[in-house]
Amino acid sequence: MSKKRNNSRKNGVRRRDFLVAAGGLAAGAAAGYIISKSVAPPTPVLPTDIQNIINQRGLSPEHVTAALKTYVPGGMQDEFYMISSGGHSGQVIIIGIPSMRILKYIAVFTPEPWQGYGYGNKATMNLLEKASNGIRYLTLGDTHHPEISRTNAVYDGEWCFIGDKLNARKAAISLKDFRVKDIVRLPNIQNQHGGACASPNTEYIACGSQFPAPWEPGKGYKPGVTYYPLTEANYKDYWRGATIFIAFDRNTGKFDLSRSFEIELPPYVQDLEIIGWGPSDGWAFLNSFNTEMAIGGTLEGKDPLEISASQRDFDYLHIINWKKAEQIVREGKYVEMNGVKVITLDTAIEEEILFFAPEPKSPHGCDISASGRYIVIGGKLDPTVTIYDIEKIKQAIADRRFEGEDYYGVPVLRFEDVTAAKIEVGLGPLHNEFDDKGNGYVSCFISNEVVKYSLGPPDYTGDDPFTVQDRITIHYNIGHLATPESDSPEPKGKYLVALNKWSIDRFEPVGTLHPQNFQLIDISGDKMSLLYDMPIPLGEPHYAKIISADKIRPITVYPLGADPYVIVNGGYATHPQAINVGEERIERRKEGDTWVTEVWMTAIRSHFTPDIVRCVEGDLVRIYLSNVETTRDATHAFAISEFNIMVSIDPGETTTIEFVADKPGVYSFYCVEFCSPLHLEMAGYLEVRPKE
Amino acid sequence: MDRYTILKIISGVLPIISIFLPLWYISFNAPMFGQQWLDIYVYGNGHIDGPLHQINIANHYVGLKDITLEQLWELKYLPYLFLAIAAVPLISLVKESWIWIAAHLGLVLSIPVYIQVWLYNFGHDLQAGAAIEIEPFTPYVFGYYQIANFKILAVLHVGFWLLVASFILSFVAYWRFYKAE
Repeated sequence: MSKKRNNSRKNGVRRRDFLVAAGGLAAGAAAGYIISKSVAPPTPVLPTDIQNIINQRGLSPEHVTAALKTYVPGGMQDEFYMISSGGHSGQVIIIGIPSMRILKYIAVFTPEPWQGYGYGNKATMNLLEKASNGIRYLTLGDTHHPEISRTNAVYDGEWCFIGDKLNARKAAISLKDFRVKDIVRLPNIQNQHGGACASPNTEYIACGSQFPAPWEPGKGYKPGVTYYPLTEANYKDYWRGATIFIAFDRNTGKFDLSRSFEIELPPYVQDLEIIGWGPSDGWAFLNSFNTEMAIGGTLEGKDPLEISASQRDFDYLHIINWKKAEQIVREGKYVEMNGVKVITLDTAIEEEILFFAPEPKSPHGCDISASGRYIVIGGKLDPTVTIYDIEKIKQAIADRRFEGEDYYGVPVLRFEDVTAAKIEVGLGPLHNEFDDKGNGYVSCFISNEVVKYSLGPPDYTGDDPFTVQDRITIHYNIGHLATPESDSPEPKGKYLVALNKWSIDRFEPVGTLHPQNFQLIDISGDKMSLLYDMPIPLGEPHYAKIISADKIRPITVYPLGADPYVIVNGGYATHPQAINVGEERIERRKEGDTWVTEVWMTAIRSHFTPDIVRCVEGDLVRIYLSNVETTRDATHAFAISEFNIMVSIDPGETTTIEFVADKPGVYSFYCVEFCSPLHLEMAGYLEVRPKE
Repeated sequence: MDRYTILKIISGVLPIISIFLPLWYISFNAPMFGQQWLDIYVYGNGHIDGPLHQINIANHYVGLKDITLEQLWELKYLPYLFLAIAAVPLISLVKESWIWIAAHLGLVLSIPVYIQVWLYNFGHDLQAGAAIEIEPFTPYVFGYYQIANFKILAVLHVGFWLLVASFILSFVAYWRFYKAE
């Protein structure tokens, strides 16, 4: 019998068996469905003590998720470094992501006591002096756009560059010791915004001027000298913008004006700039507003600038063939003005270096997608982002399809010939950055949100290119935003930081001047989610770059005797006056008409040697101070009472302090950086004997 | 060559190899160094490798003397001690005797004993007038221990264990192949 059944099975499933099985399955599925509907699935239970904390603090599941995504336990390190401008603090801020811990403020354009920057340390005094404008010792800066050095357009984590909007300067910061190595005053430019942007291999750091400056024809702008009466007619004739390509040498950490060049531009307000790669290699892009060339004049019967500079529906995206400009300079077609080679506006037009494309309306942001193909501009006063296609731009230029010229004769391309898309995103779109999946993110200042949209191929390969994908509300008034390694061929996605200008009610009130609010947003999924609010109580941070932590390779101790401000072949030069323990001495001699007291001093836990320095009123005192420590963190700081002198000497560093002992007296000096159990005893005296 | 001679020759070669290897290793950690341990290696050739400077800075508060290479004159003679240890089993090939075995053992053991005596003196010979007064103490040549805020790990390193191996080979040669005959 059983054999027979087996045989029949071999021949196939019997119809009756099949029906029974199918019926059973259906009944089981139905029962299962009903049970699953009526009985809630078991909720995963958190340990009671954790659940208690959540209840006591009144946290929602979203809060807990955000906390778990951002908490970095002590001793563990963050995934990314954020290099943020410090706004009008004149500094740069280093922040860890996702913890949003502040790791360092870097003094750049403004004296800063902790780092001993601009308070007697001769190298830093010289930097600030060199960066001044020849008519005043400038101690103010308004840092706006940081940039990181690039290799093949990818961020390499070696150098950071930051511009000062207020006084048109550019600084180079080493990301090995996070100190400024050089500052350059940009010739013929009064203030700049265009950001620092590096060419693909950091040969040049480029940026445009912001508000145009009066230029003497053929001679350019000289602070404190160049003057023309401010009238609308003069403005058109004599005021000029410019974009400068400053040569940078990684081996010395110095800018080199002699190898730099500048291009004269019409007096529009040039804004953000970027240099392309891949298909846009050799090209730079710079947006502008106030092509109306208004100058304001509210008490003279004119509209304020904010109205008169916003009349036209289109301003001009500047398209610059910088490789060709470099070639033109090599051919000698330039005019030397205030120490830099300038390609005049006429030459730029004639040699076809400069083209314009219309861009709506008083735009902001000028960013390039990972592929190097799309140039994305925020509309600001127009609720759209405009996406330009470099292939179309190159084609239109080759075909010489122009709609006309601007007032100065610069050829203007047709909007429809050069754009790939115009996406309506929200109100006040300012700035775009990108992730690793071909999406763009735009900050919308007026509608208080970040809007995510898709780009086109090759960046985005989905079937809905150039469409809004998601939006998230921010708090409040977002300016720029930053995603890791955006505006390079290898954006990393994952996080976005909204750099909000106002915090209003997000933190405990601290009087009337509120911190800014950096909001960390998770962009790893389809939907964006808010992770963290971080108060920034220092200036008005403007823009930030985010880079993978593993690309930053800092040193923690200087080689003994190093002079951090002299870089030779990428390493630190030995300070010519560096000494070791046992070589300390004081010498007094005459240099010309001046008596000079020179002190070779060491600092080590817990004493300065010598600890008594005697000199005579009127002496120029030079202290060569060597910190001979080799231990991490064993930093000493040297300050003299009544002298406004404060110098930080990090382990291994040798530094020069210079001042005039102009008043007689006995002044104590001491170590200001708590270094050891005998830190309070690490002190000494400066005796200034009255002149005979 | 018989096994006895082979063992004696190996026993004589090992100390020469160990001249170039770390003999003794001591490592320090204190809260001021974070997670970092400061490693100091003493080599058979008398070379010292490690951040003595950092140790000296930490030590001076309590009156411990600076450790400098000039002051450690013994180190200059260390290679000769190794050569002497190498010579003993080779000499015994000429005329074997238990005296050579005893001398071999004595010379090898003299190293940890000497280091221990040195450490004792170092921990007891405190300079008067130090900023912080402490009780004299004895660091150990071998082991893991704690002195004030310092965690210390001291290890006799591979160079020393090669010397021990050299002795064992010489002893086995003497016991199995010389006395047994």
